[in-house]
Amino acid sequence: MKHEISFTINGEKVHLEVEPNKTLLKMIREDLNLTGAKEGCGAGECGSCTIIIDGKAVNSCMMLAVEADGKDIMTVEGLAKSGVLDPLQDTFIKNAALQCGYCTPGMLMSAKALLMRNPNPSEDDIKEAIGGNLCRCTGYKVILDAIKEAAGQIN
Amino acid sequence: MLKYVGHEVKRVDGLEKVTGYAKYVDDLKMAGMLYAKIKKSPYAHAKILKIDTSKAAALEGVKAIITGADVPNRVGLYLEDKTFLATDKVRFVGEAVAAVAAISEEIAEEAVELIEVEYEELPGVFNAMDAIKHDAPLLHEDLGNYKYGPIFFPKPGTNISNHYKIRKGDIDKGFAEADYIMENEFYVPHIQHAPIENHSVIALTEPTGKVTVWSACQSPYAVRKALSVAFKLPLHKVRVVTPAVGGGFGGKAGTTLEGITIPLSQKCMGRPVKLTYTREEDMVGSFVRQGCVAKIKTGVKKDGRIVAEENTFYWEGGAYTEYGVNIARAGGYASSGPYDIPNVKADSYCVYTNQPVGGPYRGFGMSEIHFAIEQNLDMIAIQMGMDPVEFRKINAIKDGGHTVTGQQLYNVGITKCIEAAEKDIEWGKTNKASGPNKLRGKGIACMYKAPSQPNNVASAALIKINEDGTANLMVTAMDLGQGSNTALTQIAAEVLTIPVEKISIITGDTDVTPYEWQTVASRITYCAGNAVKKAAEDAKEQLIKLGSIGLGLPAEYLELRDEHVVSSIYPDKKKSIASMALGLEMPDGSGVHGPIMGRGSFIPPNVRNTDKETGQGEKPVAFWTFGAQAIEIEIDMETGQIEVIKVAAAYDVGKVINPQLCRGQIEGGIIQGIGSALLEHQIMEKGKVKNPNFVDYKIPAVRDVPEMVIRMLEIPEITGPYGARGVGEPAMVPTAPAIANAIYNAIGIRINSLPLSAEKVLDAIKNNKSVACKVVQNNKGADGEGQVTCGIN
Amino acid sequence: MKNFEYVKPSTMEAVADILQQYGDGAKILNGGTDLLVRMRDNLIKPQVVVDIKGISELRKIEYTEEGLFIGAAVTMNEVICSKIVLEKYRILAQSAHEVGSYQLRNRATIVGNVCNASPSGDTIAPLYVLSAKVKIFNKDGIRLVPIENFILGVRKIDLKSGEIVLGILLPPIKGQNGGSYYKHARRKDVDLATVAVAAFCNEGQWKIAYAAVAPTILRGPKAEEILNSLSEVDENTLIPAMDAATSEVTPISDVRAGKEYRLDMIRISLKRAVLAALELYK
Repeated sequence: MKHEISFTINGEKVHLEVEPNKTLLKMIREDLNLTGAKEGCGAGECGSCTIIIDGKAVNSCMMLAVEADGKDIMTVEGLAKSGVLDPLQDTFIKNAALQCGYCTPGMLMSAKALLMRNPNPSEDDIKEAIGGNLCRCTGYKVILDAIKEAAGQIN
Repeated sequence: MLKYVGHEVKRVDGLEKVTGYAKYVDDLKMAGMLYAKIKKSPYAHAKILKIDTSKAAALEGVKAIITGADVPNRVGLYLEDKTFLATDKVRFVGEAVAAVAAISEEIAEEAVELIEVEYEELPGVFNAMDAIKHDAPLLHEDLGNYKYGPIFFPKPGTNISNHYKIRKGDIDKGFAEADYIMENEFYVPHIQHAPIENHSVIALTEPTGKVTVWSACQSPYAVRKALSVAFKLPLHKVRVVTPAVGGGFGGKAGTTLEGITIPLSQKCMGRPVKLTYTREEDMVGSFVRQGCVAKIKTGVKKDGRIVAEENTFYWEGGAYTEYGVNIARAGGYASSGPYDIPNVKADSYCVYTNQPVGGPYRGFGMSEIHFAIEQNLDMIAIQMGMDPVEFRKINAIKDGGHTVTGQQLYNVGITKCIEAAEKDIEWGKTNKASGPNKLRGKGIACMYKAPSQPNNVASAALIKINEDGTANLMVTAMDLGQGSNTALTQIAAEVLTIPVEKISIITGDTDVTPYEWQTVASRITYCAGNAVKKAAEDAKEQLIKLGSIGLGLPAEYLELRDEHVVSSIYPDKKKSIASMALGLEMPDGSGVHGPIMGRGSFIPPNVRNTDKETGQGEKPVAFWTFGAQAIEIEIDMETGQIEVIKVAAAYDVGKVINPQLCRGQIEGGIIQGIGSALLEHQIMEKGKVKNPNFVDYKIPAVRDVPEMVIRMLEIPEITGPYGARGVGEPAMVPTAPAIANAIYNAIGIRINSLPLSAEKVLDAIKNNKSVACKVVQNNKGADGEGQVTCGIN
Repeated sequence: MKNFEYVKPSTMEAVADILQQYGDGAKILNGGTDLLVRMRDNLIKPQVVVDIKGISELRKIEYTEEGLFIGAAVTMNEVICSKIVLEKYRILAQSAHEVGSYQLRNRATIVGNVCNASPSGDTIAPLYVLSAKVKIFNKDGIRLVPIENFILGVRKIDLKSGEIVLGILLPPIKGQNGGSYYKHARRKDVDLATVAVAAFCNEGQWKIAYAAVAPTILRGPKAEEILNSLSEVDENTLIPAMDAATSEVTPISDVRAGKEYRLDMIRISLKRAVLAALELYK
């Protein structure tokens, strides 16, 4: 039986009917056509599906779509506001903190959630925040640099 | 003075990737799309007796089912030994035997469960040494009937699908001259590429029979060719489109899922069929890095010169070696590493095993053989009481020196790389460990690598100049993340003086973008770079010609500067590129020439076959890239855990096209190297992978990153664009042996197999399992000095 | 993932009714970080999934004279950030911090970890040494079961049909104390324990629990007795306790490690957990 749910995503109100066995990630990608969040493992190990719900980073592959009812969701598509990039997006480009880009949306959302709760994170805080986001390309150093720069710690 | 090449130009794909806009195959959704799932073999080796698909076919929502009978044609890049679905028998656990297309993934999954397959299990072979035994079960009884390229040497009636030989100098004479002869053995297990994007393909068959596939692949043209063979379609009826690719590392070279989705789509005319592997399927059903047993016998003079080397490599190629045969070849023609050794005998065997399919993996055999070569060097140096760095400098190829194929090399950067790494790691200085029960050590390893590609592989580029002075650059070099879109755009910008932001690069559509053999082998900056440079020069020549007419000045005094054709004598005499993009407008209103389109084609010059028996040849490869890494580690003596503290890497990249991206390649390679050194290992039990997921196949995460000091040397490769050489694969090659050497340096224990897991290290510490250098001849003293049985730990 | 019914009751009674009605066909959805993976892999195919996050009392974390109650729907990160946990039950926050990734800990719960009853569940060993009790609801009332009796085996727990865990109750700790959890894993970020040890000392009395070395978490009575008998615990004097540890565990060999290595690591983990606990003892 389908369930009727309502939630806000990237500032827009959405009403949808979803099957119980649909994951939140699948709903976002297939029903809302927001394909920024990716499935890399489906098991909470890679972090490429990370989005922000009610201010907190979560793995959207491990949530049911029905659980989104009443929530406020942000995906990578909601990071830039009115065409102005989020500082993280700027610093990721500037530091070449991405290569293939597949982990990038999840990485950005983990970093965004961190800066939302802690605008002045230590290196350990940053590592904790992205410890669950695997990147096979960059070697991570440039990602740390980009997040530090977005937090205003280096220029 | 270069304006774009050599500068930190921002990635041209950055914006689309940070906004989540970049579209990868699995992001594509099409009207009427169907979803495919595959039925997999539970056996490592078995005859297929019967496949019953009737129950699955009866399930509502199922639109097509295929089995091996639907895709009987054998395909393969170098050796045509595989079919897209198993036909007569299965040869590894996880091999696809049937596939279903249905209106949803859930229904496809259910249908797959309803397919019934009867097997007759056959005895299997699970390592190379068993597989080469004369009475071993054969994986491919028909090997003698398979088609293969002329540079490969399968042995029908055995499990050996390629035997590549090097016979350089006089090996017997070399060993006779040697003061010491030592023998060592090493083992590298199977590992996984683990790009974060799993394989994904969508196929669509049109009523005309034309097939379009959207494929997460490294090589649209090579895929097109394989598909045309498999499905007996002319090339113009196969279109391969490749959107953004979420990492490849070799795993997306060649064909995989395309051959399954196409026949499904042919049965569902007009409906796209998507197949996306799960992580578990990707780890087993796509390419893996082959296992490798390496045996090295070395003859050395008292002064440290290596005078003879005999190498034998056995590659655990898995169930199909269509691609693996060329890794064995690459291992052969690079068999002694970046060292000048006058007498070499090498035998490199690609061997079928009932394991996942081995294929290209960043390094293409170099990581595996250098794990052996570079530890072997340390073992010999230490045995002889020499410093490992000095020992390497003595034997490193110098200008005018020779590789193992007899190729004479100039502009050789290896010694400079060694010196840079030596300096940056502060070689010889031992740092204090971070706590009790911990010890520090340093190790070094070198590498060289050439693109392992057929001699005459081609690249092409097209540049269209637009009437506003912008340009479109079209190539089929794929940006897998390595940054080729940016580097190639920089090269075009440099020649045309059109800024990078005014050039759009279009890639990966075999109906539109021009030919590129494959995005593999660290060849793109070099090969596609040359093609782009030639295309830009072609456009430039046309512009200069028109400028000459328009300005009334001889062409030899004209140049491109800041988007204009400018007189080199009278700088105020100029004409904008934009004004001539569609041809030159004459004073009388007539026009000449028409639109400016630059064409560039490239084949590496003068790369020739080697001798079949000796492997000798003047130029078997396009170029060599040299590098060295020196690494400091810390060992926890109570747990065996290794922490990499610092990596000093130095590569001769010829010419840095983009320092930021080049550094990114090297940093990423080091971390992937650390993964292969410490964590990664496809654990198998009778061919069944026990850890096909990120829960138990751990790749490096953020806290595994050490301090990295990267040096990019620029000794030009004269045939490269602006002197550039490739560096993507070389970046990870020396990491694992340098770590192994650092372990020995720290605690005097030699471990000769990967991974250097905490468990293995502690076992070696506790049970004194250090592998000693096996001295079989010592002209200075009694035979067998320091001899310990050589085994794999 | 096979389809199922999704329900989100707002009372415990309603949950109990559904559980009673469906028996094994009903699964509780809490953080979902284990449930959804098992459903994705078709290891379980529930008829009905009962989301308990709509029940407000399960979100409570409160300290009373009975001790600290952590409701079933309280997430790992909420526990890690809880002042009262950090002040009085630091070892629990420390172990919760070892679970998965940051984003996973925003969903995963302590009670989920307990009910999952994995031998390597990070927060369970600390609950053993803190003498935690599991508070269980059924329609006839509430029962409290010591954690050691609640966990019966791998993925086996003492829950009867129609029962649901309300939360965990940690008794108050009086007097000087200190505890630490030492986890040995292959990778620093996001990994399962190869072995782990929780060590807790209260007024000189030690409690030890071992993880990932038996079908359930194990207490270490022999190691505890030795530690309790020592006049001073240090790197040298605790060696007999390390030896005892190896005698009271029964590890297996699997893809994460061999039995021998686990035995070696249980010694080292015991040492490191005990010494770290001493550092925090106050």
